[in-house]
Amino acid sequence: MSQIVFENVVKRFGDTVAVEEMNLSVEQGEFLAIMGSSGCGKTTTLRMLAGLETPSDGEIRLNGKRINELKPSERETPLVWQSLALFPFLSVIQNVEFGLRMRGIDAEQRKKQALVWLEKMEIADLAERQIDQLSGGQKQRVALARALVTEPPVLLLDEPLSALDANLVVRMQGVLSRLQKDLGITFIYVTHSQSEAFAMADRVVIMSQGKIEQVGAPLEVFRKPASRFVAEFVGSNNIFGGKVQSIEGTVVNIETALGLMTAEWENRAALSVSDAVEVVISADNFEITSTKGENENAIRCSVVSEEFIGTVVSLLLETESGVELKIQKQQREIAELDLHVGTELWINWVPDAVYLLP
Amino acid sequence: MNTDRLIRWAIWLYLLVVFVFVFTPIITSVIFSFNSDRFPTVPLGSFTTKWYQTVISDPDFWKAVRTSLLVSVCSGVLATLIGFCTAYTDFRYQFRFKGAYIALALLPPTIPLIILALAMLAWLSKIGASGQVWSIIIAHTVLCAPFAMGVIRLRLQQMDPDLESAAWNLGASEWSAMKNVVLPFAKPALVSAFCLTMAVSFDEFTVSWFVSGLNKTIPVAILEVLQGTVDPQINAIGTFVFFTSMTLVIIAQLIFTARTNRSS
Amino acid sequence: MKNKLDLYALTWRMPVIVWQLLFFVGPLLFMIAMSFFLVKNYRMEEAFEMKNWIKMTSRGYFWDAYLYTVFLASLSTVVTSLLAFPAAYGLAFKVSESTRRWAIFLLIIPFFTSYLVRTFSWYVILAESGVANAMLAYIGLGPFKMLNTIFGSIVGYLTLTFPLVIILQTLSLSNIDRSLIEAAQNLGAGRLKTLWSVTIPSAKVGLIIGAVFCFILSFGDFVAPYYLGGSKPPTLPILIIDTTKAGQQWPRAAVVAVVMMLTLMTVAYTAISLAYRKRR
Repeated sequence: MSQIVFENVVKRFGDTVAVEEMNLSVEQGEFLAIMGSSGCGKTTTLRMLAGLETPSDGEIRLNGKRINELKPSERETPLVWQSLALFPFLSVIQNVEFGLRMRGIDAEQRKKQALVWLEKMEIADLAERQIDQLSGGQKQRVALARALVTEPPVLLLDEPLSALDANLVVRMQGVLSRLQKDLGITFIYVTHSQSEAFAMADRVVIMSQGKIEQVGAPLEVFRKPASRFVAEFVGSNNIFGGKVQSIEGTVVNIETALGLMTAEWENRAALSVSDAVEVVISADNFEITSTKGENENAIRCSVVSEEFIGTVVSLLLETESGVELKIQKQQREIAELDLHVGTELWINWVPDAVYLLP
Repeated sequence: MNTDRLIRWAIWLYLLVVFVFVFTPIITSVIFSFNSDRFPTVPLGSFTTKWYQTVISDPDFWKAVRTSLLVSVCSGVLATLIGFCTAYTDFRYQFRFKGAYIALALLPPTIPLIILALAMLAWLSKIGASGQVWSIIIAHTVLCAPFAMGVIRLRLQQMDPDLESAAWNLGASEWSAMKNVVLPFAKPALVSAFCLTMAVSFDEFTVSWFVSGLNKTIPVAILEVLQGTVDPQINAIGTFVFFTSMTLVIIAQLIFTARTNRSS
Repeated sequence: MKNKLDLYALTWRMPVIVWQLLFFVGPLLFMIAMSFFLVKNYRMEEAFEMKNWIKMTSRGYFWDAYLYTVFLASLSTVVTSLLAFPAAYGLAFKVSESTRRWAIFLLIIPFFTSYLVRTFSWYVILAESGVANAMLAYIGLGPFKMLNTIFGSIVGYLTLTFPLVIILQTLSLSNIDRSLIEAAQNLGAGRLKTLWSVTIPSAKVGLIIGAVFCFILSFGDFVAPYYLGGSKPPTLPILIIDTTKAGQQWPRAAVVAVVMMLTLMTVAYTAISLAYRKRR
């Protein structure tokens, strides 16, 4: 039995629909990320789980029991807030103790348990500090300790890293991943950041305008987007419209803006000649050569712009017919090509690299 | 550039004149409270504390002090309570007719005191509640609650709206979140609001004069002395009132602006 | 934020409603009703008669008092606003942030000193043989009659309203987007031209609100016109006091109060619609 189940859940605010007919199951011990741009309904989903919003329709079940009507205080679904929402008038340890105090646990036991969690979060030495004396990363750890001190079966996280700088984000990702593995509890993590979701989650939910677009493992979502929205949202994809010219076994020939290209496509039953299709080629699936290569698919391009992102180079190319292409390569791989704006080159790609949107 | 400097000087000079005008009556009153002449003017007479002695030895004065303190403490407490309830409702809830609700809460200071005084007198006599100390308390609570509401609302504005939800999320009921989160957060504003409303009540005379019956507050006593002759006792009482009010206001100000990083 | 009406929500919502209905709306409505009551043998009788209204509005002294009060309050509003503006302008644009904060703090102090005591001080200062005339005599002037004149009333009104109006004007002026003013000067507008066509229109709402408060306070104040203005002719607030305290004629006082309220509502409404006109 799944631990958390959303069944046909709808949330309306007046006339606007924030979440539309949502069906989703979450397994015990899973790290699930819910992703989407702002206003897609991801935070509303999380707040319904915490009881801060009541579903307008449908049912949410925790361990098989309907929880729609439970008050927030009656649930074991602590939330790590985007704003952290630490109590500014309490010290670090008093913040962590809060949940235990609300459950009527005596002071000594409270303190002991809180200290255990402060130690786990490596901030035991800050126990007596006031909240406004802490750095961003330290506050993050206090928020985590405060949420986990009651040893809940589920932890909800609402963009908890959005206020941190890039270095700290990577570090906290490590902390969260390890924590989740060690505790073996379910994490539901809402974010708009693809890198955070892909780095930590077992499964990713992509939402748009209140609807789930795709649910799957990060690599699956990345390589096999279920819709044009996902393909665009995941970024660094080149998407073209095309028309099926011929089908030979698993090989499909498609007429696109890049000319005729060959694709490997297992699921040929779904296709027939002269179907309109949408073709996705990920930016890292191209080879760059100075002369025409051996691959089935190749086209001549010139460099429009280039941009370094750490060790990765992002190129914007243009074919002779004016189609723009995004390409990403390791800097080492293309160093000897000596690329500049205007450099002419060939790009090649294998039929396997071509993905057809369902 | 020269005109710029000239304008700057003119403005500084003007500001000086303005502040002299504003503070002249206050300072004059303090100075004359120690001046021996019955009708004070320049040049000053000799230094004396006889006006203070007259005031201090007057049992009616002490009675007025007691009434004033009782009235201002009670209406301060009531106004702060009502102000808090209203400010919290405004902070937390959206509902139909909220505009009317807020208007109802904030309107009293825009009605001239003399009109309110007459209305209060008539209404309180009608319901058999006039001429008592608590008649003044009721009236002053109406006058002061909007100020308390304003001060507390400003403080709640600084509260992360997630803070209360966070308490529920950690297992606190609404009542318990109020006690453990909202009240501790609002505490400095509650103290400020209490001091502020107490000071407002302490100085109010029009409504008090109408509804107090025989229970005079200090300002009403001053008013009645004023209707008689020129009496420098007023300066002594005024100086006393001034320092009481200022103490309250400064406490309120200090608490309100003090950073709330103390543990509760 | 849920919108359910439960015990918790009601606990916080009801106090002000109950209190204000009982002790704010109740009294005001009762006062309006009272203006139709009758007084017989020094006792009030609940009735619905136009007698008080006819009696009050048919008397010359009522209308004299009405016009004089409107005149005094308007004069006070104009004088206070004009005198406050250069000070507010200076505080908003010509001094440092911290000076401005201190100045506003100083201007708040008078609110917490007894208005009566300050009025008494002016009474002593402005008297025939008072401080002001004594000082003027040093430079060979005077004595001037300052008490029991319009000048005396205005000094009293200023005592009551000046700090508040300066504060309101300063706040509205210092909220103006500085780049607007710089843009105007950059486009070659002179000082006065900028002041007149950019600064004042931008701060219009705040300036008008300051003036409205000044009008309300002056219109309802009895201390200044009574002790410094000599109460001849009486103003409406003085009329209310005399009718209530001396004559026990509460219903007639209520007539005056209702007329005052109607006047104030008209003035406030007109001024506020003026303030928000053509603002898009």
